[in-house]
Amino acid sequence: MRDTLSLLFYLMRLRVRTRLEFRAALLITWLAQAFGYAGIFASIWLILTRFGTIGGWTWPQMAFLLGFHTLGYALGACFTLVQLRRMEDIVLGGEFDTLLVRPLNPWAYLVFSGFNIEYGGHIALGAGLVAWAWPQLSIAWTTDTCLLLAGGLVSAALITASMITIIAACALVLGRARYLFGIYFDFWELSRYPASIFAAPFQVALLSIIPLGYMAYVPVAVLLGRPVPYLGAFAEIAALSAGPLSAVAAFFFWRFCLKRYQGGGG
Amino acid sequence: MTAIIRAEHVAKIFRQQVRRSGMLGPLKDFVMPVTRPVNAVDGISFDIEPGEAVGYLGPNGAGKSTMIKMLTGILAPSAGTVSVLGRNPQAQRVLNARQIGVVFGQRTQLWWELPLIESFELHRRMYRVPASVYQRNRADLVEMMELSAFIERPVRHLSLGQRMRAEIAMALMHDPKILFLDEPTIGLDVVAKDVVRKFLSRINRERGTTIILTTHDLQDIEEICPRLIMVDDGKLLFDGTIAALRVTFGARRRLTLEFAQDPGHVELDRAEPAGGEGVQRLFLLPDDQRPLLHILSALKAGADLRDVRLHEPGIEEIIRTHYQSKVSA
Amino acid sequence: MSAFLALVTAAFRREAEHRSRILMRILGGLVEILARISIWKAAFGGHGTLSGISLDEMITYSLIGGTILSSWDATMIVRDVGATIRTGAIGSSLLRPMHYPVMLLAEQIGVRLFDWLLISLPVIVIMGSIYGLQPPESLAHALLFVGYVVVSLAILMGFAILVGLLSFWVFDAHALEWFMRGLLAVLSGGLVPIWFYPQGLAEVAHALPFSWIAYHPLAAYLGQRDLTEELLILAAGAGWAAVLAFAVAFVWSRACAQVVVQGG
Repeated sequence: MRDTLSLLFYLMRLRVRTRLEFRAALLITWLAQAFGYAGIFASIWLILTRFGTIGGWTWPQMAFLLGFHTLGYALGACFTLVQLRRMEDIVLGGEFDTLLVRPLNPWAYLVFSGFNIEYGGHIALGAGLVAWAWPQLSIAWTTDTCLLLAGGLVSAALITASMITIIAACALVLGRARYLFGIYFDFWELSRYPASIFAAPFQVALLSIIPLGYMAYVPVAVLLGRPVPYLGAFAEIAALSAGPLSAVAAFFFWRFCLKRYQGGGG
Repeated sequence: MTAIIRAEHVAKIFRQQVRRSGMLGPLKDFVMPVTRPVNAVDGISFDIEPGEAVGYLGPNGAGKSTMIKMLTGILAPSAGTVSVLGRNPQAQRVLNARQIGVVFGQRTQLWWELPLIESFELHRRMYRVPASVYQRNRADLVEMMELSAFIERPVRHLSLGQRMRAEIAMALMHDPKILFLDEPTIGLDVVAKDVVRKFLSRINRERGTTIILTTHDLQDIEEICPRLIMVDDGKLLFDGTIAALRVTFGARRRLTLEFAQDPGHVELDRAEPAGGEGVQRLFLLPDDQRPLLHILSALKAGADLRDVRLHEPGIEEIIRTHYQSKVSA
Repeated sequence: MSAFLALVTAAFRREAEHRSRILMRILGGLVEILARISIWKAAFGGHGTLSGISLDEMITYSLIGGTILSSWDATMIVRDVGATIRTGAIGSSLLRPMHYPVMLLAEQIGVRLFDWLLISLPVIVIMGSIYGLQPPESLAHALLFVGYVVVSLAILMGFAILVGLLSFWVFDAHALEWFMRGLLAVLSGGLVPIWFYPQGLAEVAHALPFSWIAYHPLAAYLGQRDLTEELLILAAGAGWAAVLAFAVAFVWSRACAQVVVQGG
């Protein structure tokens, strides 16, 4: 076990070293991605300067939500997105076969050997928004709120990693998964807004089968003391357990698909 | 000796998806796929002893890669059993992986952006090779494969031949008991092919590593593998030595005799006349191990023999003849 | 010209082959429009009209701004150009009888026409029948809108190709793509109409060509200005399109020199 962990850590270090060979490019990527997100966030800010609130959410509250969403996403995506988004190619090109002849779990190999430090821009922007908004929202610095903030972020990261893993696992069986990533990102965009502004069926979906509502809306609403529809008093515990629960689901789904893997590429 | 690899009535049936047409076809394919079975491997059995070098041969789509995938633990057979080093390679995939080496001719297992030596180091950690064993193996393999000139260079800058040498060296770094190679010489130039072949045959001889390789190139087999397994359409066609292959497929040695002057009627014991006229005559010899001199002694005394040529058919010829006869049949 | 049309139709046909992708993209379009409309409904919060704009108008703005005039997918051009340059495939395009930017334009027009017909139209019909789509202010405004769409496409393509060609010098097209996204999110007015912007920012946005990508066409559709003013603004947009075309031609000639020097 310790050997495996140190191997995974070594794989991460190798990838980071490879990326750091092109520092200038990395820095530009961080800036560019932060700029891209900032443009979209600025649009939301523009609406709020005119209208005051969206569904009762003020700009500082909205900024906190956007920051939390970006941060939680980046923490999960740096382990999964770029490496698993090309799962279709990994399977069809036969690369997955080469992973199966190594004495290591293929998912762990992909995830750790592909550890992506391109999310610096996301993290700076997300943390910046949270840090800016927190003092204006008069959220108390208590053990409870700190735990919810940290736990909620971990949960959001786990939801991200789990959903990406589940979609990637589809490629093991179907040979295709790229379109599913497109759909994932469409719903992911919904999850950066307060779920309460959507029609009821979408609220229910985002709080159940597509657990993206727990990415940011539920934990942030609890921190802000806003009511959460359908969940009420269970909102906090739901926010903290959504991540681990989706990780369990992803674990079993990946195993299910791996058992049905029939080889790729010739 | 007990077999190191055993395949018993192994079959692999893939379900190939039937694509439906029409606007809603892809949606239907997605929700309720319709499939038809394809027998990639169809009831194959063989045993391989430790230290053997076996060529696994067949045309495209014959089920070569599928068999390798079952032996290396990538796929499970649909029926029958495979056992590698006494284990079920798929159920005990990780344990099996530690004791075998696998090289895919068309897919690299090296770390593209980093110097070659980093890939070796990663391999050492992944296979938990003890430091002393690793030092010794690396020194040996680098020398044998002549890797020292480019071991510090990023893999993306290596030529295909250099890369393949490195792949094979890496696959041997953890002292695997069995080395599987899927098309190891594909795309290499003549010189690189030769280096790889000589190396593999040396590893097999000196280290006693069991080698299983699939290939299109029959020369690979001629130079590395005393034993040959031939498959087609998922079925076993032949399993034995190259000499036995000649017997089985009736490929006979061809004897050409050249005389100073037309000898008239020429008859050789148990040899079949195969054309020629005048001073040059051709015969097909049966594989009965008789010395050539013995055969020639049957010639009439006084026949003025100028030249004798004996042509051994290569396996390429044998197999080509076999497939041609199959097509015409 | 016939070669140009051939490329347009070829791109159109290529897109049509991925049928499951069409269904997925329609679904994605529906979700995107749902998000935009939900935001406006929440922002208006029960008021029918704010700052002289009605919620119904904003729903129409979202429906068209999020589909026909969406600039998101156009950033893919930057990625394509970047890949062509990085892999060296650009060298072979110098041998073709058509200039590379013109070829790109033809292909992208094919892709765009396809998207409008098979993705934007179904999304507008479905969401429009749920939330209601306002007709153009008048027939004249409708005709102007068509002209504006042409100008919008020209400016979007021109800008995307220009940014894409920059990856001759700045090698990371991926980063350029993100910069372009951020820029267009605010300055095209595709998400939020410029009439809601604070004055300073609004003036900047008006002065730059990006507002012709989404904002001006939609303002014309909704009849925000009288026809004389519309014609003047449309002419200004056409002027911007021409400027961008010249810029592309200039950058391309420099890039060609670069390819020749580097040996492709």
